[in-house]
Amino acid sequence: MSLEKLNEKIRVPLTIFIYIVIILLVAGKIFGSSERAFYFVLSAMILLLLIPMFRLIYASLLLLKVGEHRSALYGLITLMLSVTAALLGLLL
Amino acid sequence: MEFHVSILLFLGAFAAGLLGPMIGLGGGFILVPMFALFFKLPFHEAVGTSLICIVATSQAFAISKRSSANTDLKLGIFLEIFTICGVIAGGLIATSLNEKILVLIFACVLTVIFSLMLRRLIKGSSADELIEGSEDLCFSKAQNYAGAGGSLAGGLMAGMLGVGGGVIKVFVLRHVMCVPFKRAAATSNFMIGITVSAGASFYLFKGLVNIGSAAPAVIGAALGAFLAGSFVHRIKSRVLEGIFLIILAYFAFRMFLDFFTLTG
Repeated sequence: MSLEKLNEKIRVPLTIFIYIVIILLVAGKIFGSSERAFYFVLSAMILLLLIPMFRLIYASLLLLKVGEHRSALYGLITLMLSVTAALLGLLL
Repeated sequence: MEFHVSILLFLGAFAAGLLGPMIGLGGGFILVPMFALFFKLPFHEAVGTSLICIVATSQAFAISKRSSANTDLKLGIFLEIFTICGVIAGGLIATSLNEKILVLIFACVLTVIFSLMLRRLIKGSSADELIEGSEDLCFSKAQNYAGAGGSLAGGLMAGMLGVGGGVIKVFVLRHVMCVPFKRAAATSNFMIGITVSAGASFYLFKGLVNIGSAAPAVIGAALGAFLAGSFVHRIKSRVLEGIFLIILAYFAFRMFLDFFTLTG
């Protein structure tokens, strides 16, 4: 099976993740402006931000599997840079 | 937040999520001015909230359109290193800049996008035709550097202005790296998700995302993009481009007006 076809397999878990995000956001709106609502929405946001990262990790693992070690390393560097972006936001 | 404001945010983001991907642009060019002008968010918060919505739009559109089979993973991951460097730099620059200057930069970028789209509409060519050309792969070391530079610029734009930077990414992939259009669009979508996710996490952890406004907007943007992915081939793009142009012109005018009326 080609790399692209294997990459297509991640669609199902991603769809589930998107639905979980939407459910968490709707739950957050239902609870109004309480503290619980804030945490529901915040966790939904963080889960949403993780979805592209899951795609990146999956793609890197696929590349590693087919022997593209250099591209897999680029994927790891990209992931590290994304984490750096979040840390910079937190620290600066 | 009042209920009717949530509904308005939902509807606005839904329209942006629906219209943006159909035109071939992310929703950022609609979302940032919408948050800043209509919902009176500070510009930095409008950028952060818009980035969160674009993550939802890009992921929902990728799922519904089943475009990920065309993605060039190797190229996308390579270029993404430079794009994320651009996002980090853009975020740092934007947070150190005065709101008034950012509004001016955004208004200028909107004007450029407006003129490019107007030219495309007058010429009567669709987005695909405009970018489609030779299918020869012209991949070389020099093009690698040019592609990296273009990706850095796209990332800078995303980090500073809260847009996905898809316009630059598709242009770089198509014209500099000579990737066929469908492959370029799918690879760009894969890249946009990672780019905006990094940018949004920077803004979120810096406290520059309005959580209350983001919640209904993310739901609206995701549902709009789901729908856009299902109907993207059934609607005439020239009509949509016309609507989008009017919205862009209005927002560009209002942003310039805001620049002159903002104090500080």
